[in-house]
Amino acid sequence: MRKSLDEAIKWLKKKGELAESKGQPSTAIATASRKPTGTKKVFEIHVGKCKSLRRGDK
Amino acid sequence: MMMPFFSFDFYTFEYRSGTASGDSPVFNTRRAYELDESKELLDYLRDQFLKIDFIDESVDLCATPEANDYIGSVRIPLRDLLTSDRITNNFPIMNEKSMNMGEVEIAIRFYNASVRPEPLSKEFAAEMLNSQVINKQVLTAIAEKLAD
Repeated sequence: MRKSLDEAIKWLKKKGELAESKGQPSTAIATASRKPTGTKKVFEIHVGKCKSLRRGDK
Repeated sequence: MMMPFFSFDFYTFEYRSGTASGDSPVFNTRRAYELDESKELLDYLRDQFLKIDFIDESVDLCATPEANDYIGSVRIPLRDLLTSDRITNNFPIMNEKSMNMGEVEIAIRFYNASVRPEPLSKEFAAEMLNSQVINKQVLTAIAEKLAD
Protein backbone atom coordinates (compact mmCIF):
# COMPACT_ATOMS: atom_id res chain seq x y z
CA MET A 1 0.00 0.00 0.00
CA ARG A 2 2.74 2.42 1.10
CA LYS A 3 4.86 1.49 -1.90
CA SER A 4 2.05 2.03 -4.40
CA LEU A 5 1.26 5.44 -2.83
CA ASP A 6 4.89 6.50 -3.18
CA GLU A 7 4.88 5.34 -6.79
CA ALA A 8 1.67 7.27 -7.49
CA ILE A 9 3.15 10.49 -6.01
CA LYS A 10 6.33 10.00 -8.03
CA TRP A 11 4.28 9.48 -11.20
CA LEU A 12 2.20 12.62 -10.57
CA LYS A 13 5.32 14.73 -9.94
CA LYS A 14 6.96 13.41 -13.10
CA LYS A 15 3.80 14.03 -15.13
CA GLY A 16 3.60 17.63 -13.85
CA GLU A 17 7.22 18.32 -14.77
CA LEU A 18 6.78 16.85 -18.24
CA ALA A 19 3.66 18.92 -18.90
CA GLU A 20 5.42 22.13 -17.87
CA SER A 21 8.54 21.38 -19.90
CA LYS A 22 6.22 21.14 -22.92
CA GLY A 23 4.99 24.65 -22.22
CA GLN A 24 1.61 23.65 -20.84
CA PRO A 25 0.54 25.83 -17.92
CA SER A 26 0.12 24.04 -14.64
CA THR A 27 -3.23 24.56 -12.97
CA ALA A 28 -2.33 23.06 -9.64
CA ILE A 29 -3.47 25.08 -6.65
CA ALA A 30 -1.63 24.52 -3.41
CA THR A 31 -2.98 25.64 -0.06
CA ALA A 32 -1.54 26.96 3.19
CA SER A 33 -3.06 27.87 6.48
CA ARG A 34 -1.72 30.02 9.32
CA LYS A 35 -3.96 31.55 11.96
CA PRO A 36 -6.83 32.28 9.57
CA THR A 37 -8.99 35.37 9.77
CA GLY A 38 -11.65 33.81 7.59
CA THR A 39 -10.76 35.33 4.22
CA LYS A 40 -9.08 33.15 1.64
CA LYS A 41 -6.63 34.82 -0.70
CA VAL A 42 -4.99 33.55 -3.85
CA PHE A 43 -1.42 34.36 -4.84
CA GLU A 44 -1.04 33.61 -8.52
CA ILE A 45 2.09 33.84 -10.61
CA HIS A 46 2.63 33.42 -14.32
CA VAL A 47 6.12 33.14 -15.75
CA GLY A 48 6.18 33.66 -19.50
CA LYS A 49 8.95 34.24 -21.98
CA CYS A 50 12.61 34.75 -21.14
CA LYS A 51 14.85 36.79 -23.39
CA SER A 52 18.60 36.59 -24.00
CA LEU A 53 19.57 34.45 -21.03
CA ARG A 54 23.28 34.01 -20.45
CA ARG A 55 25.63 32.90 -17.74
CA GLY A 56 28.25 35.09 -16.15
CA ASP A 57 31.01 32.50 -16.61
CA LYS A 58 30.72 32.58 -20.42
CA MET B 1 22.68 24.81 -25.59
CA MET B 2 21.34 26.26 -22.36
CA MET B 3 18.79 24.23 -20.40
CA PRO B 4 17.32 26.76 -18.02
CA PHE B 5 14.85 26.22 -15.22
CA PHE B 6 13.71 28.47 -12.41
CA SER B 7 12.78 28.02 -8.77
CA PHE B 8 11.34 30.15 -6.01
CA ASP B 9 10.11 30.04 -2.44
CA PHE B 10 6.88 31.80 -1.56
CA TYR B 11 5.61 31.84 2.03
CA THR B 12 5.43 28.13 2.95
CA PHE B 13 5.71 26.91 -0.64
CA GLU B 14 8.58 25.94 -2.89
CA TYR B 15 8.48 25.51 -6.63
CA ARG B 16 10.89 24.29 -9.29
CA SER B 17 9.91 24.56 -12.94
CA GLY B 18 10.47 22.03 -15.65
CA THR B 19 13.62 22.39 -17.71
CA ALA B 20 13.40 24.37 -20.94
CA SER B 21 15.97 24.76 -23.72
CA GLY B 22 17.66 27.66 -25.46
CA ASP B 23 18.52 31.18 -24.35
CA SER B 24 15.00 32.57 -24.88
CA PRO B 25 12.70 29.88 -23.52
CA VAL B 26 8.95 30.25 -23.02
CA PHE B 27 7.97 28.69 -19.70
CA ASN B 28 4.29 29.67 -19.70
CA THR B 29 4.06 28.40 -16.15
CA ARG B 30 1.16 29.32 -13.89
CA ARG B 31 1.06 28.59 -10.18
CA ALA B 32 -1.69 29.54 -7.77
CA TYR B 33 -1.49 29.28 -3.99
CA GLU B 34 -4.54 29.60 -1.80
CA LEU B 35 -3.83 31.16 1.59
CA ASP B 36 -5.74 32.13 4.69
CA GLU B 37 -5.45 35.88 5.17
CA SER B 38 -3.60 36.48 8.41
CA LYS B 39 -1.33 39.03 10.05
CA GLU B 40 1.61 36.73 9.30
CA LEU B 41 0.74 36.71 5.62
CA LEU B 42 0.39 40.50 5.48
CA ASP B 43 3.70 40.93 7.37
CA TYR B 44 5.34 38.52 4.94
CA LEU B 45 4.07 40.48 1.92
CA ARG B 46 5.14 43.78 3.48
CA ASP B 47 8.69 42.65 4.31
CA GLN B 48 9.72 40.03 1.74
CA PHE B 49 10.82 39.87 -1.86
CA LEU B 50 9.87 37.10 -4.24
CA LYS B 51 13.24 35.86 -5.48
CA ILE B 52 13.15 33.69 -8.58
CA ASP B 53 16.44 31.95 -9.38
CA PHE B 54 17.32 30.88 -12.90
CA ILE B 55 19.75 27.97 -13.30
CA ASP B 56 21.31 26.38 -16.37
CA GLU B 57 20.96 22.62 -16.07
CA SER B 58 23.24 22.01 -19.07
CA VAL B 59 26.28 22.82 -16.91
CA ASP B 60 28.04 19.66 -15.78
CA LEU B 61 29.51 20.76 -12.46
CA CYS B 62 31.29 17.42 -12.03
CA ALA B 63 33.11 17.61 -15.36
CA THR B 64 33.84 21.36 -15.11
CA PRO B 65 33.94 22.36 -11.43
CA GLU B 66 35.01 25.90 -12.33
CA ALA B 67 31.80 26.46 -14.32
CA ASN B 68 28.81 28.24 -12.82
CA ASP B 69 25.28 27.02 -13.49
CA TYR B 70 23.70 30.11 -11.93
CA ILE B 71 22.21 32.49 -14.48
CA GLY B 72 20.73 35.08 -12.14
CA SER B 73 17.68 36.07 -10.14
CA VAL B 74 14.64 38.31 -10.29
CA ARG B 75 13.68 40.10 -7.08
CA ILE B 76 10.15 41.41 -6.82
CA PRO B 77 9.03 43.35 -3.73
CA LEU B 78 5.83 41.72 -2.52
CA ARG B 79 4.70 44.85 -0.65
CA ASP B 80 3.48 46.19 -4.02
CA LEU B 81 0.66 43.63 -3.73
CA LEU B 82 -0.65 45.45 -0.65
CA THR B 83 -1.43 48.53 -2.70
CA SER B 84 -2.09 46.94 -6.09
CA ASP B 85 -3.67 43.57 -6.81
CA ARG B 86 -1.23 42.83 -9.60
CA ILE B 87 2.34 43.18 -10.78
CA THR B 88 3.06 42.73 -14.49
CA ASN B 89 6.40 43.45 -16.07
CA ASN B 90 9.46 42.32 -17.97
CA PHE B 91 11.91 41.90 -15.12
CA PRO B 92 15.70 41.95 -15.50
CA ILE B 93 17.53 38.83 -14.34
CA MET B 94 20.57 39.97 -12.39
CA ASN B 95 23.52 37.86 -11.25
CA GLU B 96 25.52 38.20 -8.02
CA LYS B 97 27.68 40.91 -9.64
CA SER B 98 24.58 42.96 -10.53
CA MET B 99 25.07 42.17 -14.22
CA ASN B 100 22.01 41.85 -16.44
CA MET B 101 21.74 38.19 -17.55
CA GLY B 102 18.50 38.50 -19.52
CA GLU B 103 14.89 39.27 -18.79
CA VAL B 104 11.63 37.46 -18.12
CA GLU B 105 7.92 38.25 -18.38
CA ILE B 106 6.22 37.83 -15.02
CA ALA B 107 2.68 38.57 -13.90
CA ILE B 108 1.53 38.22 -10.29
CA ARG B 109 -1.95 38.62 -8.89
CA PHE B 110 -3.25 38.62 -5.33
CA TYR B 111 -7.00 38.40 -4.92
CA ASN B 112 -9.88 37.05 -2.85
CA ALA B 113 -10.46 33.35 -3.47
CA SER B 114 -14.20 34.01 -3.91
CA VAL B 115 -13.37 35.98 -7.07
CA ARG B 116 -12.61 33.92 -10.16
CA PRO B 117 -10.84 36.24 -12.58
CA GLU B 118 -9.79 35.49 -16.15
CA PRO B 119 -6.80 33.17 -16.39
CA LEU B 120 -3.70 35.22 -15.77
CA SER B 121 -1.95 33.97 -18.88
CA LYS B 122 -4.69 35.48 -21.11
CA GLU B 123 -4.74 38.75 -19.21
CA PHE B 124 -0.98 38.84 -19.22
CA ALA B 125 -0.83 38.39 -22.99
CA ALA B 126 -3.35 41.22 -23.45
CA GLU B 127 -1.42 43.55 -21.14
CA MET B 128 1.87 42.80 -22.85
CA LEU B 129 0.25 43.49 -26.22
CA ASN B 130 -1.16 46.77 -24.89
CA SER B 131 2.21 47.85 -23.57
CA GLN B 132 3.81 47.05 -26.94
CA VAL B 133 1.15 49.17 -28.70
CA ILE B 134 1.74 52.02 -26.25
CA ASN B 135 5.52 51.76 -26.76
CA LYS B 136 5.00 51.97 -30.52
CA GLN B 137 2.70 54.99 -30.15
CA VAL B 138 5.23 56.78 -27.93
CA LEU B 139 8.07 56.05 -30.36
CA THR B 140 5.97 57.28 -33.28
CA ALA B 141 5.11 60.47 -31.39
CA ILE B 142 8.79 61.10 -30.58
CA ALA B 143 9.80 60.43 -34.19
CA GLU B 144 7.14 62.85 -35.46
CA LYS B 145 8.29 65.49 -32.98
CA LEU B 146 11.89 65.09 -34.10
CA ALA B 147 10.86 65.24 -37.76
CA ASP B 148 9.12 68.62 -37.21
